[in-house]
Amino acid sequence: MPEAAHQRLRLSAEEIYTAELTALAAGDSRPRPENWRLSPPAVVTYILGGKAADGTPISAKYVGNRRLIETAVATLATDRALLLLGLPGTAKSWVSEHLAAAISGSSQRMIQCTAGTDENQIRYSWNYALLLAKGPSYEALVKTPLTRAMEDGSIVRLEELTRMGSDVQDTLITVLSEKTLPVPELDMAIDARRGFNVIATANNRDKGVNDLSSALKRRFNVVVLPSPATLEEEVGIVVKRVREIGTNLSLPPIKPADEEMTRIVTLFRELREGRTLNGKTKLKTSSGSLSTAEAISVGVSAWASAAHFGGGVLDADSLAPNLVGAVVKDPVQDTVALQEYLESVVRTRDGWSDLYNAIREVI
Amino acid sequence: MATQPEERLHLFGIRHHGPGSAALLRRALDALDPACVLIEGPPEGDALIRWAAEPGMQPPLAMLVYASEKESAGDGPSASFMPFAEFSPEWQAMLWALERQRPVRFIDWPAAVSLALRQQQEAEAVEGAAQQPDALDLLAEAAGYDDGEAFWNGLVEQYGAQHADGANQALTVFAAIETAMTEARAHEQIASRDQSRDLRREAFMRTHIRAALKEHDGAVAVVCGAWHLSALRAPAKAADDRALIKDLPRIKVEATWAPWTDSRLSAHSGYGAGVLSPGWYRHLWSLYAQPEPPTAEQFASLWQARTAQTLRGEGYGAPTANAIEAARLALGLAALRGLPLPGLSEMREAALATFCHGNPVPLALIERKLYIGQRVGEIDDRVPQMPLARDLTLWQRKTRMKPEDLELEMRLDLRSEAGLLKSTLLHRLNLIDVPWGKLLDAQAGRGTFREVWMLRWAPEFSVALAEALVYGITIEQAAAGITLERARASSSVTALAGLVRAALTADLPDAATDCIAQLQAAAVNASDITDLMQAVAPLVRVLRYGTARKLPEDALRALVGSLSIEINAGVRIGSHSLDADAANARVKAMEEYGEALTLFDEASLTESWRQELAKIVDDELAAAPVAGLSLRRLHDQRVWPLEAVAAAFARHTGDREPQHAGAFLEGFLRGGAEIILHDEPLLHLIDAWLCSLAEDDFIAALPLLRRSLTGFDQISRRRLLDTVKRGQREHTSTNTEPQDENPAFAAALPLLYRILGMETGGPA
Repeated sequence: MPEAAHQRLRLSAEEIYTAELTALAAGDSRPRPENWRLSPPAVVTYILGGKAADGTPISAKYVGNRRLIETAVATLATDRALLLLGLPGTAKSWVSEHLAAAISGSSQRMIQCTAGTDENQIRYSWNYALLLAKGPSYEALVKTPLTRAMEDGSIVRLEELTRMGSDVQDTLITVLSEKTLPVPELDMAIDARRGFNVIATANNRDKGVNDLSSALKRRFNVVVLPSPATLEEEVGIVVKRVREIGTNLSLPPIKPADEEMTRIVTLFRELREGRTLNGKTKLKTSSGSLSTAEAISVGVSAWASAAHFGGGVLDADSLAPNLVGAVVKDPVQDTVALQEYLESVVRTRDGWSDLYNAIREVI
Repeated sequence: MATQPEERLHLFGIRHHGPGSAALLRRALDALDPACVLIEGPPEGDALIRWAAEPGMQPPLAMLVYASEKESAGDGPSASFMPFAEFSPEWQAMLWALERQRPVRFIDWPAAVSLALRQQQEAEAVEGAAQQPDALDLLAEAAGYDDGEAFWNGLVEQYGAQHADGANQALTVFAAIETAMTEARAHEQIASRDQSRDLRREAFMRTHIRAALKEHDGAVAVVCGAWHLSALRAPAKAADDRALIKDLPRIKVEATWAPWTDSRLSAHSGYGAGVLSPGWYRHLWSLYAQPEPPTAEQFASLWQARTAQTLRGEGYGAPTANAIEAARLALGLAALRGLPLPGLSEMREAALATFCHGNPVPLALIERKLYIGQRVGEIDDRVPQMPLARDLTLWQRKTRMKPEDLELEMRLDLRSEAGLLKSTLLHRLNLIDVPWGKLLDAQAGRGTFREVWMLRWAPEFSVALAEALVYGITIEQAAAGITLERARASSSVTALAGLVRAALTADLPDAATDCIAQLQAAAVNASDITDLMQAVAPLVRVLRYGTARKLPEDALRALVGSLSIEINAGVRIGSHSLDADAANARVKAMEEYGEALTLFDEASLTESWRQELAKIVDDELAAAPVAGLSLRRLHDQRVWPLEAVAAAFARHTGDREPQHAGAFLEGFLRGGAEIILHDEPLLHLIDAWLCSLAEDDFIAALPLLRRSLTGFDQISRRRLLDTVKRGQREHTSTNTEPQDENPAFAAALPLLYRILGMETGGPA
C-alpha cells in the first residue's frame, strides 16, 4: 500500500491535479477514444492550461508551443506511439507524465530504461517457484508495466528509451505495430486493450547512447521539445515550478524572488548559448546542459538555503553557491568559462555587483 | 429575372489565388448563370481573355501590361503583371464565361493610368506596400483560422457539392461574405491605406458595372477582391465617378500573356497578394475540381503520399507506412483543432513527426519542390505574343530547352551543333538583359569548347524581352542592335573590346565586325596603353584557340595587328612618369600582352616588342617596375646574353636610389619564385647585388626587397633561403657532370633539353 499522500516526498501528477482532472472530465462532452479519461482537446487544455467547462481554472503544465502538444495528443489518439525527444531538461518526462495522467488517469505505469534493463523487464518474466512447481502457466507469468498497460488499456511510459540496449529496445517492435505480445511458452499472446499506448522519452544530446533502430523509429511519431524560446518564457517556467516544488517540500515561505529567478535564467541562457542575450559578447560555453530543469533546481535549493540559513530573503549570497554548483560540472573547463563570464559580463552589468561578489567568494 | 439593377448585380468577393473560393465561385456562377462576367483587372487585358481557354495555355500565367514607349530614362516601373494560377478565382471566372460564351471583361482602372501614376510617384511607396493583406484573411483570422485558405476549406466542405442544393448554397456564402465585408470595412479605419487610389479604382469599377447593367438584361456577376464589395454596391452617382476619374495621366501600353512561375506566385517572393504554398493550393484545387467532393482521407493521404515521394526523391527513407501514419496524424490533428479538413500546417506537422522524426531539415529541403512548386506556365502557340517572346519560344523549341523555375546546371559541348545553338541563345539573351543562364565556368571565355551554365527562368524576363523590342524583333536582331548601340555610345577601349568578344560569343559576326571597326577607331585616339594591352589579350585568345563559332578572322587579326602596332609605338614614352599604381597595372598588362603576342605568333610584332623592351630598359625615365619587367622578359626569352642582363641590372640597382632599385627589383622578380629558384645565374646576379650594397643602402633597400619577396609563398621562400644558404656549392654541383652517368639517359638528354626549352643560344 502506498504511504499516505502527505508523507510522500513527491506526489504524482494525477494526485496533485485531481481537482482539475475531475472538472475537465465532468464538462467534457466531446467524443473520447476508448478507455481515455478525457477527450483529446481536454487533454490539450489540461497540459497547456485554460478553463474547464464549469469554470474551474486549469493551470498550465507545459509552457511552450501549442502545436507540439497538439501533435503529441493527436498521435496518441491515432494509437501511434509517441517519442518525445529533446535536450536534457526540456520537460520531456514532465509532459509524458501529465499526458499519461490525463489520458489514462494514472502516470504510474513506467519503465525506467537503463543499460541494465533486459528483455524480461520489458516483456514479462517468470515466477520461478511457480514455474518449477506447476510448469508454465499464465499464473507463473510476472508482468511488467508494459504488459499490465496492455491488459488494462492504459498508457505506459518508457523513460530514457535510448539508454537501454538496441536489442532490448527492439522488443517493442511487435508490441507497437501488432499491439500484441506473444508468449510462445504458453502458445498465447497478450493482446492490448483499446487505450493502450506508449510514450517514450529520449534525449538527443548525449552521445554514446543506443540509437533507435530504424524499424523501431518508424513506429514512433516524434515530437521534439525545444528549449524555451524566450527569456520571459523560461523565467515564467522557473518561477512557477520553483513555487510548486518549494510548496510541496514545505519549505519555509520567503519573499517572492522573481528577479533572482530572472538572473538565474539569464545566466543559464547566456552560458548555454555562448553569447550574451543582446548578442554582443561571445562567451565560452560550459560543459553542462544548463537546462531549464537545472535552473529550477538551483532556484529551489537557493530558496532552501535562504529560508534555513539566510534571512528569509533569497539574495545573491544564497544563490551563488547553488549557481556555481550547477555551472561547474567539469572543474577545469567550466571554472574557466564561469570566471570569464564573471569578469566580462557580471562585473559590468547594472545591479549585478552583489552577485559578482558572492560568486567570487565561492570560487 | 429580376429587373431592378441592384438585384441583377451579384458581387463575388474572392480570395486572390484561393482554390476554395475558386471552387465556390464556379458553383455560384453555375447557379446564377449570369449574362455577363466582370473581373477586377486592367481593361487592357480584355483582348487577351479569349485565349485563356486555348488548350496550350498552362497556368501559372500572367497578363503583362507594359509601357510600349519608354517615357523617360527613369527606373520607374514600366510594366505590371496580373498573375493567374489555375486555382485563381479570376482565371476560373474567365474559363467559365468562355465555356458558356458569355461576355467577360476587366473593370479595374486601366494599367495605362496606374502605370502613369506610379511613374509619377516613384518616390512614394513601392507596389508591395500598396498591396493590402487579403481582407478575407483578416476575417478568417478573426474566426480562428491561422491560414485564410483553411477558412475556405471549411466553407467548401460545408457548402460544397455535398448538398444537393450546393450551388445555391454557394450563392448564399457569397452573400454572407458581402455582408461581413461591408460590416468590416464600415468599422475599419486603416489610415495607412492610400485612400485616393482605392476610391479611383472603385469609381472605375462602378462605371464599368453601370455600363454592363445597361447593356445586359440578365444578371451581372462581378468577381473582385472582397475589400471592394461594399464600395461597388454603394449608391454613387455616375457623375461623381466621372469627376473622380477625369484627367488622370495615361501612358501608352501594350498587353500580352507571359509565363509565370510558382515561386513568383508564392508569398515568399514578396508578391503582395502571394500565397503561402502554390503546391498545396494546386493540390486543393485538383481535389475541388473533381465532381465528387474529396473526403478528408483522400485529402490527407494524397498529399502525404506526395510528401513521401518527394522525400524519397531527395534520398530520405520515406516508407509508405509512414505516409499512412502521417495522413492519420494530420486527420487527428485536424479533428483536435476542430477543423473539417487538415490544412497545410496540420500536414506539415504530421510529416515532421512521422517522416522526419522531428528533424526539420528534410522538410526544408523539399520546401521548394513540394510546398512552393516549380511550375512554369506555357502559352498556346496561337496566342499572338510579343515578337521577341515568340522568337524565344521558337528558340526554346529548337534547342529543346524548357524554362524552369529551379536552378539547373547545364554543361554544353560547343563542338556539337545542339550545344552551340544553346550557348548562342544564352549569350544573346544575356546581351539583351535576359539572364536566363549565368555562365559559370570561366574557362568558357577562353575559347575552349565547354561551357557550364546555371539556368533559372524568372517571369520578369518577359519585361526585359518587351523592353528589348526597340532593338529588333528577333532575339538575334535585338542582341545585335543593343551591342551596336552600346558600341556607339562607348569610346573606352576596354569596353569596346568586351563588346567585340561578347558579339563573337553570341555569334553576331556582323555586329562584331562593326564593333571591331569602332575599336580600331578608338584605339588610335586612346591615350592609355594599359587599356590597349588589356584589350589585346582576350582577342588573341579567341583567335588562337578559336571558338566553335564563325569568326571574322581577318578583321580580328587586322585588329590585333593594328592594336599591337599602336602599343609598340607608344609603350616606351608611355612608361614615363607613372605613379606606383599605374605602374603596377602597366606591368600586369605588359605580362598579359607579352604572352598574347607570343600566342599571336606574328614575327614582326614580336621583334618590335623586344626592341621596345630593350629601349625601356635603357630609358632612364622609364618607371622602375616597367623597366624591371622588361629586363626580366629580355632575360627569359634569351634576347640578351647574361652579361648584358647583368650590366643592365647593375645599372638600375647599383647607384640608383634604393626606391628605384626596390621597385625595379619588384618588377624583375614578378611571377613567382620558381624562376629564380631554378635560374641559377639570375639568383647570383641578385645575390651579388645585395652583397655589394653598403650597409646604409642595404637598410634602405630592405623594405622594398621585402615587398618584392612577400609575393612568393612560404614554401618558395624557404626553398629560396635553402638555396642561398647552400651558396656556390649548389652552383658547382649542377655544373659538374655526374660520374656514373647512365648512357641511355645521356643519349636522351639533348631531346630533353629541347623539350624543356633549355637549348642555349637564340630566343626560345
